[in-house]
Amino acid sequence: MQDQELFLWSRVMEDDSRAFEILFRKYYPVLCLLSKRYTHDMTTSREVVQDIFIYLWEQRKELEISTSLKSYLSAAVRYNSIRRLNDYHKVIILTDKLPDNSRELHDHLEYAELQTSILEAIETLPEQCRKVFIMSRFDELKYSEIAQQLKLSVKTIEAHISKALRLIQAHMDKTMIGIFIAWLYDLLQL
Amino acid sequence: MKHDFFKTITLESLIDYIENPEKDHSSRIVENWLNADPENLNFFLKIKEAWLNRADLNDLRRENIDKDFDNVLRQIQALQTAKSGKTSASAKSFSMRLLRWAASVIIIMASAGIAYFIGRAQGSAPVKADVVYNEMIVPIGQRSQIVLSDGTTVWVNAGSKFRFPSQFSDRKREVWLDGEGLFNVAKDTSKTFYVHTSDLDVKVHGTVFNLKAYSSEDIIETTVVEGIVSFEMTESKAEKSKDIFLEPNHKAIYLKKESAIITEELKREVKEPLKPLKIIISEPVKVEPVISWTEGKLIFTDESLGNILQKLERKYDVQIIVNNGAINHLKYTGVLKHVSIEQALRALQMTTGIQYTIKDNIITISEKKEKI
Repeated sequence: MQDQELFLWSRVMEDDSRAFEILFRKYYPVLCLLSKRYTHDMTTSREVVQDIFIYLWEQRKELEISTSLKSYLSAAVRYNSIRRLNDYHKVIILTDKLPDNSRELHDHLEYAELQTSILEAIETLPEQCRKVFIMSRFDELKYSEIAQQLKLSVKTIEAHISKALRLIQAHMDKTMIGIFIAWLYDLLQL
Repeated sequence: MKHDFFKTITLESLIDYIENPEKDHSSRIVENWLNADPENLNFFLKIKEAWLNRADLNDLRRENIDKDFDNVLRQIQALQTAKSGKTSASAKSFSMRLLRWAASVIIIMASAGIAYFIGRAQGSAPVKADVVYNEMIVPIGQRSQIVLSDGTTVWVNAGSKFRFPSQFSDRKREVWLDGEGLFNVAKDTSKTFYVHTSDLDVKVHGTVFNLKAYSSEDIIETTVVEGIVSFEMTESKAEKSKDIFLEPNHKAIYLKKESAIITEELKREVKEPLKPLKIIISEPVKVEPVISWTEGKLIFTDESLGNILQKLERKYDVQIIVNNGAINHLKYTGVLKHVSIEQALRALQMTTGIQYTIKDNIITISEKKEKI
């Protein structure tokens, strides 16, 4: 396990709910996005991942994590997301019929991390820039509508959008290198 | 994951392309970038999927994560009270389960409509998502034929990658090739047909032509069988596109760089010296040998062994090692039709004075030792 993870996990084992919250906030988005690759439904995925965290807390004293927490959680998400599909959809997916876990899980995880880096980037945008970006790309408002609501010119809106995309790109660039190294690190731990 | 994509393209232009693929100027830049490296395309597809699924990110905004974490804490507390023996808590957890069961029924119903929903949602999105790009990869040692949506037929040679849309747009027909292909383009004067390669764009209306444009090779060769072909340079290379027209039985040769090795055959075919980044038109050539690969036939007219061996490697998926460089300059004329690699080598051995050994998939060619 990486140092920070190890420290947080040791705190959790000693009933520190604050450390638990930090771990939750760190891994919850990426695990939900990973789970969605299997369930194709975000509401289900959020439930699956919440259940995993509940279990994680419940079992904190008994759990033996031999790899990294991230590998452990990703494997748990994969397993439980598939199981959830079986239980609720009555679609039988045999786990051994799925492509051998590591490659497929790795691909899904890589994608989920790409999405997470976009999410993180949006969260770190300057306030006005973030607001404009969300109104445009999530609420699907026209530039002219946003301009009217925020009492700004359309030109300013365009500039905010362009800036947002530049900042997101810069953030992704940074985190993708990070992701790659983190993943290598995990593999070496195995 | 390679991380230096943003050195060659901006996220903004990728997203612009996803949202308005029809916007001409910027889309060309992105398309050329996509074409430049299969890794780029891979990365783009991930970005595109992430972008089109950005509603997921909306679900995971700060407010929702706060809510979900509160929910986790509440359930943990409920479990703890349940453990300490209070029945009301387990009753609550039961009703939660019931609630979830109800939610799952909704999910099942929703999932039955997923395919339909996705189809609808993409149809109305700014991206023309109903157009699917297919990529055909023809392995070494094989060749393949395909008919496109407009009736154009394409033979794709060994070791090539060919990308084409399931449906062409209203304005133009565009495909991408890394490798060799023989195109029989259906006539449609209102919709120009473009073949994009690493360095050149070939532009036609209705013709038959052979295009050899392996990104791993320094030379792009276009040979016209029927009709007229013209060219455009791929973005910012060399002079701006003057329309260069190519007539039947002529070959256009384009060198990607100065150091390109020019074969004897090519030198024979052109009068003026070949210059890099310039299209040179050959003297009239025989078309048959150029397109014979589509019939599984190889025709050589006084062709150097170096060239021939390269073609054999591609056709038979073997690796050929030449012991003595001088061998490459030996000449051979003949037709190899429906023969095995051994038969082909024997034919070469008989007339050119080489000998060969085969071990595993590796063939070693050396000079025939003189009989004393």
